[in-house]
Amino acid sequence: MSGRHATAITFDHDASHAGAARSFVFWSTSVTTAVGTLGAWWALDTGGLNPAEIVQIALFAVCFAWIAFAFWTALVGFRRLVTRRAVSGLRGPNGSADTQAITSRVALVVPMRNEDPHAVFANIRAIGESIGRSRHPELIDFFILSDTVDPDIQVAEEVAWTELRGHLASICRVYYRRRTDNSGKKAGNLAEFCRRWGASYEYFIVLDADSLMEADTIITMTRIMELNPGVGILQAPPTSIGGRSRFARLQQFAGFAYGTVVTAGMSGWQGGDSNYWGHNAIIRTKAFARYCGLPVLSGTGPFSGEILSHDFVEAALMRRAGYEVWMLPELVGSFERLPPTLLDYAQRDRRWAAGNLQHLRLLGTAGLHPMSRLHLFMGASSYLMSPVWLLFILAGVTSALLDSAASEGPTVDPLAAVVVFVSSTVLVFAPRFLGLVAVLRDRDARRALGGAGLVILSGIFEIVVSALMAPITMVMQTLALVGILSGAKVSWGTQRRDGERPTALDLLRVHTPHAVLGLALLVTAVLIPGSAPWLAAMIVSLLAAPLLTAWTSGTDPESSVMSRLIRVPDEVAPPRVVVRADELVAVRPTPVTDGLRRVLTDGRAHSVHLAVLATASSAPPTVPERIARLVDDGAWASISVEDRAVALASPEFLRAHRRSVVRPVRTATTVLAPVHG
Amino acid sequence: MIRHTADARAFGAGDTSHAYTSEPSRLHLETFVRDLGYPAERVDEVIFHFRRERGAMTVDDAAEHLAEWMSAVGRVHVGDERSLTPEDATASFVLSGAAMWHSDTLFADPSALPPAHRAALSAASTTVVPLESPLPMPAQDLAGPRWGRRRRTEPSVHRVSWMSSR
Repeated sequence: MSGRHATAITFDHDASHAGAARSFVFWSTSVTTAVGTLGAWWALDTGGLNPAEIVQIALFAVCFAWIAFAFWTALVGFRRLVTRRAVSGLRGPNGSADTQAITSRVALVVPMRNEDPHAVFANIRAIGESIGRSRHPELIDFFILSDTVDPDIQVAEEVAWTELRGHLASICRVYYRRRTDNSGKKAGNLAEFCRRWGASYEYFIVLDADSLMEADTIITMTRIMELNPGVGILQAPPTSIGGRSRFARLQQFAGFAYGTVVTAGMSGWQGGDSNYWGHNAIIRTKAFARYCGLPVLSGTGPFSGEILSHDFVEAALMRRAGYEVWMLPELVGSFERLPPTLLDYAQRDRRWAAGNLQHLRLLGTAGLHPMSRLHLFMGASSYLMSPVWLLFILAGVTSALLDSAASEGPTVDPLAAVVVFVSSTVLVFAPRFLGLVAVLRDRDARRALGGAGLVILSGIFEIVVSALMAPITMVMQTLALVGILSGAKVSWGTQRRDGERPTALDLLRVHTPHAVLGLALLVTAVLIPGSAPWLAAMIVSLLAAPLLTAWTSGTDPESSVMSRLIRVPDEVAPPRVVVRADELVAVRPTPVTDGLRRVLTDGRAHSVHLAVLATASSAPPTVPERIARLVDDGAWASISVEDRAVALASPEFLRAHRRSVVRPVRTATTVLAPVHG
Repeated sequence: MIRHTADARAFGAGDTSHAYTSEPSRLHLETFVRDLGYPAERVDEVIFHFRRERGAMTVDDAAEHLAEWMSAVGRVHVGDERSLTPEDATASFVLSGAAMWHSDTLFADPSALPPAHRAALSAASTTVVPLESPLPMPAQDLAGPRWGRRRRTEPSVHRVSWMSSR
């Protein structure tokens, strides 16, 4: 796994294994689910079925199908990784010289909104410098597509852009566009790029604010698109990197060891009917513009309005138009960063849940490929499984209470129950086991991670922690869904930096529902001792939720035992683009704390800001007189963020007040405000 | 941070439309150079070049050198014979990000500059966005199946659909 190179992929256009793998996964999942459900029926039917048990069996079937599906997908992925079979169904470059023979123009587009400009521009510069080492940097342009509304961040972005443009001047062009109308969110931002500049670029690659890609990967993807005119989207699954908190490192390890197997499996049976994850993917511009424009969904409520998770829908529309959508896990050199804590993860998860839930409305859209409908359904299901699992537990508790009240002897076949439980556990953890085996088989990866012993220990450790965290995320996702459907606002606190722990108040507020459910299950276990063994792990997890969140938010010193566990190869030998991005991020510039003051007192910020405003489509606002007075008086601290935004949107105001930043002389000894913020 | 003096007040920290002055003040020059985008640690170097190599003791002189130099870059790069004003030259220089390059660049012979740098400095490249080349992007219909109605016809590479084409 380490040392792999994007240009080292082998292709076999004429072979196609996706159909057989698809049938295998479908039938295996169906049979496994049927057998598992019959087993559950057998276990519960000892003394006849009460209504709660019938519901329990139905919910069990849904949950069991879900884990069986993941298991068989992982098995397909494991086989693909082990056999190192060529990518079937696609034409690929014939050697590295052919890879470098690209002739198409590519735009690397970076939609951003109120992000930390320093970190984002550091990533872009690292990618740009990587492109500078390739053969055709002149074919690649960067577009920073800002939807930022915070006036201070706007100015920081503009200043950072001039610096980036200077640094990459001898490599490629870097453009900066800011929308004044943020309609359509990220999808609208990308659509605006296509509408204005799409005809200049055969392909565009979407990068998130935290995305990183090696030039080799970008060039290889471009060449694959050139060789396969029927491909509309090619996704390079991003590897998670750069995590410092225990939570991020655990996720990173899980992504490396198990995610690789599952992604390889999905790619194996989906073939050209794969999905798109919204970033680190190359897109055929003309086809995207022609077929993937998103409408606003009519009505009100969670299933209407702008499409929130645009990626799945765009992939479905691309497929509807006849273009293939591919995901190639073999494309290494594609990276992303992870949220540092469980609470930040939950915050992001909530946004994704809202978007994926909306997809349920689109399941009946005319003309979609059945696989696209499956992607939309699976996306929503990945969140719906949490309430299904919770209801399954509640149905089990109710059924136990009913049986205990009836007290007519044993109502559950203990042997059958144990067999079902063990089978479920095997299905849940088998993908992790397969992932570990795949890592252990890779000599380079095994050595990089400190040997087989450390890999196995890391695997066991991750399994224990993830098993403890599963009930916590189940409750969080259920609450998020309830919030989305009821319109209630759910917050997991402010966003944290890596290594920054959540406050005690945040932990208490977020984990109260976990504690309540944990206590309720504890009472059940006390009242019905027979249920205690089944509920013990969940009770421990739910009651320990605040401690677990706090502990996973922490970091470990490099010399500690923990830092030697759950390592990934990219942590031991970081890719060049990641090292460079980290170096650039470490040099913090003076932050822009007051954008208006900076624009009125700094010639560079002033020039750039006016140039950016010159490209705005909307009419400038009228700046109220009171803002002018505050500016004239140098009372910067009294100007609100909203007022700063209004003033910064008016070129006329900015030109007129360019020199009014300094407090007028009142006495000969007046102490003047510094003119540089 | 700029020093708190009357000089800084009078020239609004390098407002290029007002700051040109014949007063030989180092502070004015410092402000001018900072406003070109040079990082604080390289301001002294650039002022040294302005004074020793171009004899530019005032902001007026420095701005004039910048305008002449930028005009020469345009001539060498695309044969543009226009003479830039100090204001336009300053804005173009800032937008190109040229202050991130070596401090000698501003005093180098334009014909000796790398073509990529000349392109970045030339007037056509000093906009924040390129010329538009539009591509229509119509919103798609996401409505459910329209049984019994004629389906929309769309060109495709090889259409795949489970729906009947009635």
